[in-house]
Amino acid sequence: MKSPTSFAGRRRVAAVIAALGALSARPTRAGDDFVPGGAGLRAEPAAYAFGVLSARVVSGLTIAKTRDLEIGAVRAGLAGGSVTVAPDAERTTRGGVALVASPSNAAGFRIAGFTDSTRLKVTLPAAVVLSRAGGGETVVARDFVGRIAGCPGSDCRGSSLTLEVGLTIDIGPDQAPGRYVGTFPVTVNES
Amino acid sequence: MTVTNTATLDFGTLVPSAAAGTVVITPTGGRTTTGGVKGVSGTYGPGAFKVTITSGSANFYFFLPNNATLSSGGNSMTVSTFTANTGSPGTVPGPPGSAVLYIGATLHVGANQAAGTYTGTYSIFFLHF
Repeated sequence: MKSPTSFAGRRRVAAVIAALGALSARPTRAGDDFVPGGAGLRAEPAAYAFGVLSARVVSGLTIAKTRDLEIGAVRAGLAGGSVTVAPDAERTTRGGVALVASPSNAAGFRIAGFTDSTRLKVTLPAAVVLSRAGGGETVVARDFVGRIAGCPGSDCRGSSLTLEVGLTIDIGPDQAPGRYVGTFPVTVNES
Repeated sequence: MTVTNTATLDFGTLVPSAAAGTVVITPTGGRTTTGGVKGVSGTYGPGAFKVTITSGSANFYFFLPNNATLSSGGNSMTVSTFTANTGSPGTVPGPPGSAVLYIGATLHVGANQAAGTYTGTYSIFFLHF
């Protein structure tokens, strides 16, 4: 419906005021459409459009264990040997040690809160001692090896990284049977 | 004219320090930091508004806000110096046609700014004849 010319100017003003009045009371959400101009008025819009702001503040670099390292079961022999769990969880043995089918996995850590274009330095221990639960016998874990999962080369993208850690354990001749448990520290720094 | 906010103006993830600083998002998608603030890897980006004009002039005028506030619980940060990828008026092809207006701004992060997810809104006044 076309308006008489003499009323067009007034109708435009009315449209603007109607649009502002309606929009000022609108809730603000991302994706909102703003279609100023009421029913029966030609749209000559002036409108506030609302945008959403977002920011996240964190305390900095963090590392958290997501999975314990489980060496699994092995059988000690008359000769000593070693068992290795690689970062990809593959188990291998040397010497007089034999694998026994059992669950095993590498350790998992989640690293987050690192800043743009940074270099991360992960420090693994040289060796730690595991003690037999309920006894004084020990074995030594050494040759800790880490890798960043899903990160070919060294150019890792994303807001968090998954560190997988494997190790090698030396097992003596006729090592006392039992469950050997220990802890090892992992630190990460920006350099 | 229809205006739709199609993207959040996202300053991304930040690490504060004992010194205050700023984070600048440009309309083209860049991020820089000053002072004691560091940007953490992850997503960030400019705000975007899709402007659709069905008839009349291809020009649309817009007026950016002077400032805005982001808050998280009882903590807040201010945003200033809004910028756009084009001057006002912007234009759309046609009409009918549509164009996207990209918005950047400067976030002021306080010394030892409390951790949290901060959100807020800002308003742009659009005018079409």
